[in-house]
Amino acid sequence: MTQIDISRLAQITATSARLKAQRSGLWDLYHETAEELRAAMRARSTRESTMRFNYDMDGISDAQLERLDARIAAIRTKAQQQEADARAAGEAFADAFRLETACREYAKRLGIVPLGEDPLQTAFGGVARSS
Amino acid sequence: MKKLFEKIVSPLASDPRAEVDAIRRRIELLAREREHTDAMPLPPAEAEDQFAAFLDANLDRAGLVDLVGNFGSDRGAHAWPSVNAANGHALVFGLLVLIGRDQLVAEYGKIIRDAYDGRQSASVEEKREMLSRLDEEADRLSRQEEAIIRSAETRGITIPRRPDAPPAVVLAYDEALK
Repeated sequence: MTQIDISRLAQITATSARLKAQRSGLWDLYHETAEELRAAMRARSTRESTMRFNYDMDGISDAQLERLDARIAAIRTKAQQQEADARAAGEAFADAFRLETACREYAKRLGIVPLGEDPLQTAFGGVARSS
Repeated sequence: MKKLFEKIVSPLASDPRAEVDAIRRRIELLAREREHTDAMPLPPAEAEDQFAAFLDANLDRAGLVDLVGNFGSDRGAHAWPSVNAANGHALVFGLLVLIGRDQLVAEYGKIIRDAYDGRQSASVEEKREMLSRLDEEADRLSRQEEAIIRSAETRGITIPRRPDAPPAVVLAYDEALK
């Protein structure tokens, strides 16, 4: 007789949902930073155009331009880190989802419809045993 | 002194992540061994027998013994038009086999012996036993791994499960892991 603990499946599902939310959150952060980076690059471009217009480019070190470059570099580093974090979270979610899918299929093969897929299943109170 | 030893050594000895990593490495090795075992060829003599049986089965399937035997007779003349495209392959194959079945088997045996060149081989039964032993060991290790993960969870340590962890183990009751 094969017995499975359906509460384990709920736990696996919750883990995968949490990782999915985490992945989305990290990508949102990355997109915000990417937008910030684009804004900083636009600001730099504007500053450079203004300097060219005023013919004050040659041999003059522009403090504002340097500050913008430093800011761009910092934001780019931050964005790269956030992208790496989001990708890692995506991989963690993919792994968890693969396991969740395998567990659901296994439960179905045993004739158990996991909670959330069949309202009648609530009658089992979260734990089902199958033979 | 004992307490001091436990304080220093225990956390290292019972680091669940390290334990799980070690088990996963062993499971990986077992998987590789399983792959190797599964790909192991049959002993040459057994392979030769199987090839001969394969040839004979195809001969039977095509009904060529009757067909060729009755060629030229009235019965044969009725039989030939019934050879259609579906068994056309079998027909060509069957004719080849009729020409030199024994010679084909002998040639195949020679090719196998040359190709094996000392490679490890296993009969169907031996292979089944070896694979079953490996599967049992992998299952035992997976249960051990899951038990450690659950025990760590009760202590607030989360260890992600492998995506290819066996569902039967992941969904098992605690008692089934002992």
